[in-house]
Amino acid sequence: MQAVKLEKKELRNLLLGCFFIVLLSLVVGLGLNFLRASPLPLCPPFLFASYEKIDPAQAQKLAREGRILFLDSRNHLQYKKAHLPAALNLPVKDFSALHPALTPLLPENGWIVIYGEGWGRPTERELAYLFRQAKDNRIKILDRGFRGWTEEGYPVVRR
Amino acid sequence: MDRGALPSLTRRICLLLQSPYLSATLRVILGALFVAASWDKILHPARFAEDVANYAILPPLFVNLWALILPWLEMIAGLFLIAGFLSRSSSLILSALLVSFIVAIFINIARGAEIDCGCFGTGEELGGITLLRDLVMLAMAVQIFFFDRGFFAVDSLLRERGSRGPSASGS
Repeated sequence: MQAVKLEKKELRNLLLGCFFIVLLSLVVGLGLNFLRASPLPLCPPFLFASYEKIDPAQAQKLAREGRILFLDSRNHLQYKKAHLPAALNLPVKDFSALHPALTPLLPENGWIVIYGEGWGRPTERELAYLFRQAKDNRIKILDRGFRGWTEEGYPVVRR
Repeated sequence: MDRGALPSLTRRICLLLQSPYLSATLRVILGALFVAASWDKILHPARFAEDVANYAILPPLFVNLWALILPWLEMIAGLFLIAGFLSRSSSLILSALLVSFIVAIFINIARGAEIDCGCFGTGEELGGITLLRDLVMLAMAVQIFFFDRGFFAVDSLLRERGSRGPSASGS
């Protein structure tokens, strides 16, 4: 009986210790972030913005007419492996460096169509949000991303 | 061949693995590793949030929150391990973190994802070595959890004070 009591006490101390460490991390982590000059937003704002979508069939049609610039928002390695024909690679972290150079490439009366992997990290939404922040509103998101495009059987450029 | 040699060697290895002195050494090593791992993440939370997002395991809503709290969990539990304060709780938390890292790394290796590990700053690609390193660190944390007796630890000092306190007041 004594042993059981001791074990219970040990378990309680163990869990209290864990709770204390988690609580301390929470307070210090969030507190210091709040004090930063440019704090990291707790909820990424790109998640709550709505974007116009375009399905692969329509995108393919407009691309044939030369009215679309495809932007691949995935990383360089994923882009090198396979990407949509004539797509340019613009990872999220390179946006501020490369955005000015893109302006002359944009088609007149056309659209920028951004695509991501189609699952996992929504890089297309992150990039679309940055375009909107830069007051560039000629953007659409490719529905179901790169995965949707390949599933529909449209052409891709492979390494 | 000496038949008695093997069991005796195995026994010695078992005793060594259960040694509280080994626990004290591992506490310092594992604690220092986690403090070092947390430093770059604390300094560059946005970059670390990108690394977390690239793993594509957490829902995007929780990525930034995790990127802000995880480095401090590593830092605080690491410092506590070195000091020997709340050693068992710290090793339990670090074990849980390591299990989650191992699962996340394994899933991404299986997916064939070519992403940054984000373990000790940037520039380390995910691979078998990363997985192996985390497994070794998990073994260290488990050893500390089960066999640490509080050598050179703040926990022992506090326990001693606690056990002396009532008798001193009673005398």
